[in-house]
Amino acid sequence: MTEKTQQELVQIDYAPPARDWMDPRIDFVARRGSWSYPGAAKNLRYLGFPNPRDWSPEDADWKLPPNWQQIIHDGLAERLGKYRSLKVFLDTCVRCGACADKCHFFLGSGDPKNMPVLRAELLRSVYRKDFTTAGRILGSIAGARELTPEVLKEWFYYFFQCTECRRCSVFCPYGIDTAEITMIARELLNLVGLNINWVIEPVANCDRTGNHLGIQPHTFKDNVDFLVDELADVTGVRVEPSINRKGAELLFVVPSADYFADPGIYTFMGYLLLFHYLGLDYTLSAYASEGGNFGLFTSHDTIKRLNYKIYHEARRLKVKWLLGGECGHMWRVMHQYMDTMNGPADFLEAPVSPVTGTRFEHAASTKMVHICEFTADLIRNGKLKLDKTRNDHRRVTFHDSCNPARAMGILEEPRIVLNAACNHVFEMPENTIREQTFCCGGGAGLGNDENLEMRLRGGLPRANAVRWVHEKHGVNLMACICAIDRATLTALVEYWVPEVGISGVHELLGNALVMPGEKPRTTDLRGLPLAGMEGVADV
Amino acid sequence: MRLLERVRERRQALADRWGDLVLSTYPPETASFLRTERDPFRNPVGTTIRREIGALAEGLLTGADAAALEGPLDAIVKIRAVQALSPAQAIGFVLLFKQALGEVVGESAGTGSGDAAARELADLDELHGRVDALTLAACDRYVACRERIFDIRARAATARTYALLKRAGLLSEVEAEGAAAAPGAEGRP
Ligand code: SF4
Ligand code: SF4
Repeated sequence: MTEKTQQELVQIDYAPPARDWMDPRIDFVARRGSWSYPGAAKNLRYLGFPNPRDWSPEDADWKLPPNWQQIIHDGLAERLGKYRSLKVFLDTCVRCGACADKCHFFLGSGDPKNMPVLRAELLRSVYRKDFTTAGRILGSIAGARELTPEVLKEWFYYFFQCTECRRCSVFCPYGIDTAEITMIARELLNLVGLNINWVIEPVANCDRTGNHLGIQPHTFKDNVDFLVDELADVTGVRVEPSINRKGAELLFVVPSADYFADPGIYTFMGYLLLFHYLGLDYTLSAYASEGGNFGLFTSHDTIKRLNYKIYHEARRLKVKWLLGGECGHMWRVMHQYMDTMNGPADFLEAPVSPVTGTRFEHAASTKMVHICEFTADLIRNGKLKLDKTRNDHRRVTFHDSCNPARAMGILEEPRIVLNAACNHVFEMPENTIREQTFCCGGGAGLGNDENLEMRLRGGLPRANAVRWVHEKHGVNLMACICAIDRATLTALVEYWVPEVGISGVHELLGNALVMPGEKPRTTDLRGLPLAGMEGVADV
Repeated sequence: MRLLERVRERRQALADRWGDLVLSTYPPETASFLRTERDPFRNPVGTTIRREIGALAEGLLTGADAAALEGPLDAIVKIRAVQALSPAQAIGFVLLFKQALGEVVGESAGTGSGDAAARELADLDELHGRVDALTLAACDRYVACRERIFDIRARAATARTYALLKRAGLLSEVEAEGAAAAPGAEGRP
């Protein structure tokens, strides 16, 4: 071995090697922390999905079906015929670059292939090769690529690095929605058995038991009872939710994390207090026990399949309309797909608030109202007695979750609720909220532990704005209306801004809501002492 | 004029060059964006690196103590500790100060003979020594960041299992005086 000089020994190559974007090679071992574990064979088998097997992205052989190229080609042809938007999105892009620096994953990782335009290009280049004349004749000169195993692996890597948040689409002059391209790419990947377990297991569980975690009816009831007991401890009021009750006026559907995981359970406690306060005639369902729909991250057929159970349960229980909790992508499904897929829900009635008489015209077809719309309407009509000082230990900011904000336009309602429940509410900079909100970095099934580094990269732009509002206004809590956010933002702030906690909006409403017959409150719903009660509270 | 003074006069050029070199550790398409976008919310990585490199350069030239440099150092290391960089690449940005310094003071600094050259050499040594100390501090920060990442993973897993067992009624725990023993996930601020 030749002797190295000291200088050579400490030589570090800082500059990354220049690489053509068309070069698809990914070293999955070196990139641990930025990809998710593959879907377990048992889940694919349960769902009747293609090519169930055990495999790892780190293996050289991904055990694809022998005719996988044909399968993808046919799948793409079929979808080009079925979804006009796909063809428009693939044909229209002029590579103007307006979207390039708008993706949180690009901003945090610095990986050019996380630019939306290049992410879409992964699919577009193959489309060009097989489906356009220029691409067929000119090949790579026209930006066309052969679908090789390496390209397919690159698809898997980068299409499971898109949270389908749609921030890029806000800035595209042509309205190209890269999230939709990701959705189609994931559908195609599914055709040859490429999926991630954090998506496919919730899908399988939801299909079987009604929720992501596979919680069975008796455990569902146990969890709800547990939270009812906790509420009685804090407030002295025993609420009485009903489960699977036929003939209730409305069915209330929440993301399962709300009755199962911290910090969602406190939001659930807020819902229960509100409904008790109003004397609402509602029921929960142990079967429609999941608002979330990971079909959205799998395929259109799967969205439909999972969404159907909610309507089915509404019919079985003979309720009049549906109320939905603080979930993110559930509302995208409701707002953009449900009516076409499983609607119109003619057997239900157009939602009317039994308290204020307000008709929710916008939900006349889906028959489903967002809890923030419902509560904001109560507040506007002066129906709630709220003691804001019970949130004085909190200085709050609001994170617009991608789906309610960009896919549904719920921007004002949560702010109305927050401002009615808290004295200290502060906004993050305007280019990081509302339609321009930054993703939590863990949506679309990417919020798993093994993908944590990628989540921390993707969540960096959001955390950067949180740090700003924390330093400027002393913010110590960020509220949001999405269960995935509540889970993933908790990890995000723990790394980037540990001084800030995460909550739902109805948790804070629950703190402030003055319940008839309640005992003097010394703590909030989490058992933390209220401002001025630090010595008094029995925590 | 002493070398240190000369460098101080050109501190802006030095910080700019150092910042540039750090941004060049990203792929070219990315680096050009990180360099040009000035809005801190549209470009958190680029603007943070520029700002904190400026603070570090100032600190190195004035001989600020380690505690004063911790904030700026942490802000950069925290970002690079989660990006797709090897540990050496993640913290090696500190050493790029030496390259920027060489370019700013000229390759000939500290080479000649005589008293003046000896003083230059002493100044250079002094600065290089501070950079070495900062590099070691960056190692500490880097490891702390990585440990935090693993803590977050571990806590997430523990909290999930704990909640499962607790609600399934499978736990019989000794209740501490006044408070139930629970992992950190509950009752965080
Ligand atoms: S949808 Fe969101 S995650 Fe996907 S490319 Fe666009 S900005 Fe990035
Ligand atoms: S903004 Fe639209 S047209 Fe421009 S590069 Fe992005 S997707 Fe293409």
